[in-house]
Amino acid sequence: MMVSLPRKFTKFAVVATVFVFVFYNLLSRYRAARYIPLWQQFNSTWNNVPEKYPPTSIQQLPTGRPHQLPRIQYSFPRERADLKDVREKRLNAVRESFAHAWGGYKKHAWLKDEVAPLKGGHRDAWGGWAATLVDSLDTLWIMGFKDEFEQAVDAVATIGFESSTSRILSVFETTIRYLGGLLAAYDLSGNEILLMKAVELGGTLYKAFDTPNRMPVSFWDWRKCALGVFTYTESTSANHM
Amino acid sequence: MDGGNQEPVASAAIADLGSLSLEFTRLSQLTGDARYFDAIQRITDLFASQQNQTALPGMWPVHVNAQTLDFHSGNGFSFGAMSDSLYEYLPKQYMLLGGLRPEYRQMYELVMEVARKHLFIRPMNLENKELFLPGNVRATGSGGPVLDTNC
Repeated sequence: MMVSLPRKFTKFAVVATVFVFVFYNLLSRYRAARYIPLWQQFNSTWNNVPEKYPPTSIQQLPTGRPHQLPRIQYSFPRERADLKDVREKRLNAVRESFAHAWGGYKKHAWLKDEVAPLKGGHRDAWGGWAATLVDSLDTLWIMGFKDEFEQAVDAVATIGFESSTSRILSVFETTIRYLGGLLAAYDLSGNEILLMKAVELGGTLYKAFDTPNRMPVSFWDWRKCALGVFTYTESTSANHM
Repeated sequence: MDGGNQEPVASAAIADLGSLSLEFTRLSQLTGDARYFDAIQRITDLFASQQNQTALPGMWPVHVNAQTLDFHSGNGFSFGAMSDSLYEYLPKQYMLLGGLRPEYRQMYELVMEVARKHLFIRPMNLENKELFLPGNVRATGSGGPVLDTNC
């Protein structure tokens, strides 16, 4: 049997509920508006190194509505069930091949650049920032190795992209493997750590363009311009370029 | 640790210079910081302005001078290593920028016109089927380009 409440109390309860609802809603919106993404909170140590040849002007990204570009991918007809079986078998074979390779990397060369396939063990030939790991992030995601992906991203978070155990960095290789790897994985997953790391690496790489004509140094002795801001420890397994 | 001057190299592989655009552009797009895009667009502008001055107009020699900014002198032209990704990045960069920078498309179309004419041979195999092989071109600007397929 329901107890009938006094009218005043009911009124109060309704008003209080509405008030709490509105307050909570506004608070969430305030918090959301105040949220600063990880990458924006990052302050590059390279900002402490003065720019010797700052560009006199900065070209901006083009503005305007992107054009509708023609579709590249083939329009496949509806897949027959028996052909689908064949395709899925092949797909799984490829996926297993990758899993085997990834397992080898985890076992022999975790957080190193590459596995040394004949000796076993590892090598740091690409700056010592776990090249294979970063380069494989998008593949892990695309192939559906979600746990492995999360584990790999946690590892990426520990990498310091502001300095390297290699004396010389190839600007080209660093850009295509590391910067490209981080950004591709970010675009696929939306994981903010990856964008933060891309910004961290971008700050380092940008310094390679600090030349009289703003062309980048191809094989970059990054310590020469570091003005003692970074300490340098040579990797024991480094292969110098 | 002298904070000394750093200089670009006198002999830079065009792939090294021309394969930074996608990554740096994307970083600018995601962060709103145009410095990265600016850095690579300067390189593009140089390639664009000298595309027709090379010994094989439409393509660039495999090595160019990043110190003097001479991007047209040189006799070796190739879709192979040290060179390939400059060309690969042109249409991709066009797409990444949503078609809003037409020069990337124009540069690429010029490249393919020249490549079709000079960079491929079509020998027949034993079954009289046509093969399609790329090679490297040596062009001195006098007496046409010579295709070397290392056959």
